[in-house]
Amino acid sequence: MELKADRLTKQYKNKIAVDRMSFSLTEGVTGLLGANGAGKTTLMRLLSGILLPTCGSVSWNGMDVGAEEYRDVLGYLPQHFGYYPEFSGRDFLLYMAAAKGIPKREAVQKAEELAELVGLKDAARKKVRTYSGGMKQRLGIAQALLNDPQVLIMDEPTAGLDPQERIRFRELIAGLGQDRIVLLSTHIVSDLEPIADRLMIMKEGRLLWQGRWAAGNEDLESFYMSVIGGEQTTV
Amino acid sequence: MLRTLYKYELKKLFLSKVNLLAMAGSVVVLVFLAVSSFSEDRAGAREAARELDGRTIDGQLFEEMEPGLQSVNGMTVLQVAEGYERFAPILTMMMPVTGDEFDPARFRETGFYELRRQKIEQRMEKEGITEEERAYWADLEAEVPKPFVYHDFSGPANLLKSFQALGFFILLLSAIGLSGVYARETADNMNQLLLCSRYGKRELYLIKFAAGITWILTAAVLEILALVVPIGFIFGMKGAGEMLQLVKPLSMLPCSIGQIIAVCALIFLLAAVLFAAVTMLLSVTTQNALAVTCGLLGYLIVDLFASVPDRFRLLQAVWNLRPNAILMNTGFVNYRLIRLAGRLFQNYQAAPAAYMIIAIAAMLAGRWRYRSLQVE
Repeated sequence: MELKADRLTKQYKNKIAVDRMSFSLTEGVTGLLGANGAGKTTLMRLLSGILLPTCGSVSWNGMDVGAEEYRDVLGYLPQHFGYYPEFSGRDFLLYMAAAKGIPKREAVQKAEELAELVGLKDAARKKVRTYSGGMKQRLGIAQALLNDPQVLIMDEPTAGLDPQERIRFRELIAGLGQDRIVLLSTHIVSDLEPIADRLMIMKEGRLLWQGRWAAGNEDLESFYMSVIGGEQTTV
Repeated sequence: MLRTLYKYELKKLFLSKVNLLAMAGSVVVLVFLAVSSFSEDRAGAREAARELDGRTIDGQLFEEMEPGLQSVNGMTVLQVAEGYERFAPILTMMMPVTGDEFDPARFRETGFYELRRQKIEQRMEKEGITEEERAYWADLEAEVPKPFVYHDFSGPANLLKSFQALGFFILLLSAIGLSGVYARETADNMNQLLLCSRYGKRELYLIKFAAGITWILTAAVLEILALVVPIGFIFGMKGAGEMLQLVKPLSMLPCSIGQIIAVCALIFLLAAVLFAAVTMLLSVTTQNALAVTCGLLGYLIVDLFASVPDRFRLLQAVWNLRPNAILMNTGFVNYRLIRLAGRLFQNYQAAPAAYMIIAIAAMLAGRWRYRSLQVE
């Protein structure tokens, strides 16, 4: 299983959001770090196939990410997304399950399981407009998992979660990363430390550092700062 | 799965508060419009219509009417003349032929049917009707029975008159209810989720389109019922089988009022589909619901107030095909025909085909645009 980017570039008029990035992701949790405006969200959209690159390519097991087969194995949680106010949480999950092509009976069962997994079982039949920010974020996580994705891309998934929820989420992701590709971006470095097998650090659209990071004398926060500051060289 | 998606797309449209409010508001206004035709209808005129029911509109009737027509300085002052009320329904019916200045002397000299022929001839001259078109109409006119026989037709006539407002309301509903079908997904950042799902890139476009058409047709049927039910309850539908000329004396169509109402209802439903398809095309193209609503309201103003001079024949023919032109009944007294594949068609025959062609083209163009959507 391989998600591969080859000289991936996205340019908007005068700004290069992603600049000739090449990397390959395999099973495990990869953390994507970078300051605001580094190009993390653009990169994730490119990897999700919802944004076309200016040049370069993204492939899944050798297949273009624009293919329907790729969408079947993809779970994506964007940083910001809306909900339909007239839908309940359950409605939202069933709607997304239908969009993902999951048969109805299976979708109902999956929606119930995931609602329970993210702690929304009791609120599943309430309108989404009554949900708190954290509940909406958990609902977003649940929808990303509906199709049991082999590639899970999550943009700032812990935003809006309280400390207890973040711990639960980390445990969930650590489990999921064992047999699938998980890419998650966050600006909370401590969220990555216990679960990330690999790291990618971006700055101004460029990949500054990528590789396996092992806790040694230096904690992840200090390591990240040293990369951003230019003390560590690109791998 | 696709059925489930369709169900949820319907839910979005039917449970949207704005849509519910817009639909309920239009129904209430139309019911009010239908009921208001009752308050305009005077009791004396209704009684007179009943008494005149079955009377042949001929010289004998005109002789009976003449004492009720008072001429002052060459002009007829109808309302003050004694006996006017008794013939008011027929005089109102004849008004498009005779005009406001009802001159009994001229009327006696030329007769109602000759006046009608002259009036039609004047219109044809003004519209620049060709010999071929004249021959087409002459064949139809020959089938219109004369002399006309008056029947009470207040129910169907009021219904046909009320239909004039439908085009306005359905365009308004489409602009409000469907402008966000595709644009809303972008505004709410839902495109990010949908475009990377299995059906989100292709099938969802058509499912949303189908849901939009279902919603607008439901709204259209409710709007028709908002007129038919109160008018039917107040006036009844007696007279629906009578000749169209009782309502549109300058029409040369040999058909009944009820047939024209059915045609209008069909054209209205197709117009609803047309408006919905165009609204959804604009929605997917602009990705901005407010811009779509404003654009369609702008069109509505142009539609209501703009007209094309007679000398621009082709442009006028196209302009006369728009739903409001047909529903405002001008289509039935517009003598210009449309030539297609060697045959001549009237506006109300060409319009449904034109609406469907445009709606299908809008759907295909929208699908092409939808497939190229990205999340920037």
